[in-house]
Amino acid sequence: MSLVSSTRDRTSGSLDVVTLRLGQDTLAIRAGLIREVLEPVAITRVPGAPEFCTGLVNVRGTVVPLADLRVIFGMHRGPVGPDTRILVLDLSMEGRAAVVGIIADAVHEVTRISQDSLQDVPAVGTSWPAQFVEAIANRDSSVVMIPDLPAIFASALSTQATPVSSHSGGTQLPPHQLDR
Amino acid sequence: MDEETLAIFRAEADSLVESLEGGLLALQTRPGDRALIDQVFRDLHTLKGTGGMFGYTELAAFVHGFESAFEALRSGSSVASSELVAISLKAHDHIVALLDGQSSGDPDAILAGLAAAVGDQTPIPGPRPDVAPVAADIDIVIPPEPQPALRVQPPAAPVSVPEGPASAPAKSSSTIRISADRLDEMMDRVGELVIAEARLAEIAAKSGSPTLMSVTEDIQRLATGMRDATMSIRMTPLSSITGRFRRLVHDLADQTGKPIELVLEGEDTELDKSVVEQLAEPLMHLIRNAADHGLEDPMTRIDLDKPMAGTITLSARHSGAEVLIQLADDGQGLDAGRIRAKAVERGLISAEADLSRNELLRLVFAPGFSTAERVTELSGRGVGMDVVSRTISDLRGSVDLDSEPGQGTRITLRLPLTLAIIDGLLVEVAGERFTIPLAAVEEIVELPEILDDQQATARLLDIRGRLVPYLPLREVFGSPGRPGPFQKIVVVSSGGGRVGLVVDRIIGSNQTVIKQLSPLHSGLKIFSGATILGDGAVALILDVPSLVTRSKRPSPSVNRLQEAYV
Repeated sequence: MSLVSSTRDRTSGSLDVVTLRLGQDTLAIRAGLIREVLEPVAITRVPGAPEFCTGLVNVRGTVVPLADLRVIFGMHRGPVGPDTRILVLDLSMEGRAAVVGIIADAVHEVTRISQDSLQDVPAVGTSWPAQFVEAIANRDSSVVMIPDLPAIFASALSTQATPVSSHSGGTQLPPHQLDR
Repeated sequence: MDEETLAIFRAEADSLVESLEGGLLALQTRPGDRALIDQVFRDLHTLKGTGGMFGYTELAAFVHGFESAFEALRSGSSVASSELVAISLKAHDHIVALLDGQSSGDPDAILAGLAAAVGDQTPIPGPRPDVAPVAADIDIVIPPEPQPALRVQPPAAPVSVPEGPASAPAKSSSTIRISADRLDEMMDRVGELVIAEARLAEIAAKSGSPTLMSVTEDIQRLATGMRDATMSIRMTPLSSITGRFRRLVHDLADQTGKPIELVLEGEDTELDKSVVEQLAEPLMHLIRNAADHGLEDPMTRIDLDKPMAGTITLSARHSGAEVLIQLADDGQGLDAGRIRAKAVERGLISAEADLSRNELLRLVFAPGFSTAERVTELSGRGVGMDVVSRTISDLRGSVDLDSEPGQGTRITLRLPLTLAIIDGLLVEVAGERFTIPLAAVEEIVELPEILDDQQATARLLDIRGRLVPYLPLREVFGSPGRPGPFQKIVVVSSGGGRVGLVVDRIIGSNQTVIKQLSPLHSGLKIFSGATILGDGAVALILDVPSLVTRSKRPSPSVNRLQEAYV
């Protein structure tokens, strides 16, 4: 996907990211995208919304959709715990700036990943859908995954065009399983 | 030139160009009107001046030539010939193209045509420093001014009114220009204020302190006043977009060879700025449809004993918390038989479907009924009607259609007055809170116990002898658990339809600041937005028109269609 090459420049030094835990995996999100990190607040359920984005939260007077990347990556979805956080991100949707929240099981640290350590996602060995992974990196003998947020939200927008009228009760397949 | 300066120039140029177009079109009906000729001249002159000042030299040079033609007209005693008006409109289009940075057409040919049309005198336009530019994002009128500020030109008015654009310079003293962005920001701030006020009210009620309560009441009163004042500033008359309809009708009459009269009624009806802006496109589409397919050609009309010129009437009026906008033509009307045939062909209904005439007519709004996708295309009655319908429902309005064969077609748009703040009724369903627009609520009744049956087949409620369908919201929302014993039914109405919404509890009414849903959720038609409650939680706002549609249980053949609407 062209997004991958355009959003990553391998020649320049390093990348400032915030690392977080989702299920059993560690993800990294560009620090520049993050507006703030919130403790869990009251989440309003949106009946009939796709599994990926069933909630709304109030972020300083703005109604912000709350997305769950664990649905996209087929990760275990634990309950809200003491370490759960909401990351508020500035993204662009349908060409317009949008504020989106994503849920994290825990937020670790702000750190720097050198561009040299970035690799494309291997074809085998992970369960992540490759079109939603921008790159992976080796850090301290573990793997950090950088999700391709533009691709993920673009895909969510195209699937919500056909709204789910009946409640599917959590059995809905994540989009990538339908793709393959 | 920095962007801000450029934006100011554009705003000014746009309104000058619009005023120019209005003047030219008015000249068609009143070719000898000096005031109009003067107005056109002044618009051109100001445009030339500002264009030159802001570095649009090509524009300034072209407008100079254009202006010369009108200078000749002014100094001579000649009237504006229809030929001159026609070529002037072309010149106007060229100006618009130049402003947009395109160069279409042949400026020299246009200028030569203009010169020829006024008999080729070559006058020298004198400077006119007395002319103030007429430009406005929003004109705010401070009373004793008797007329609404936006340049309203009574269409084809029998009396020649020398006001309109020409008189605008005189108004500059009592109006100020505000950028639309600042108004939007002001509305956002008022929204925040209303939310903060709701929090305060909740804290005050809990505290029980009489002093705090009384201050809270003051704040509430002030916030309500502030809200009303801000919303009234945002109100814009429909006339701010009707200028382009006149031009459109003029062009359509040319293209189709049908004489068309456009009648505008209630142009001073005001709606929220953002609603008015978004209405332009669907209305232009409906006008195009009416001219192209509604009206018969002149010969046929004479055979039918109709006036040769077809009439398209655009009218607007207030009706409660809604504005009704109607577009009617006196053409041939819709052919239910042909609609039916086409719908069957497109697989929207089965060949043996039993539909009322009204249901058949509504099929033109179905997605997939029309062949062309784009709003701008001109073919087949019903083209892009689904786009019209969608735009209106995005504005939380509804569309009705009525047609008599041989008599014409009437399309009624119902729109809310504002998109920003409404009075809402807060209800609870399975522990979750939702807001219903209060303007749509007719009454609230207890759910009779015998009706509280999940398996009931006929969900109809008898309200003083009238049967009203009802929808248990728990079911609509897929809520878990069983309801308690004392459920309520909120009866809401929209576009003539009614439905009872079964809720667990009524919490109360409150001012509701509407926040748009993100693109991730905007596909969910049963919600029109969200709002923030006093305790900071988010509540969804129910979309009454789509719930009413959902409650209608048509024959199975129309089910597919019904789903497409909801």
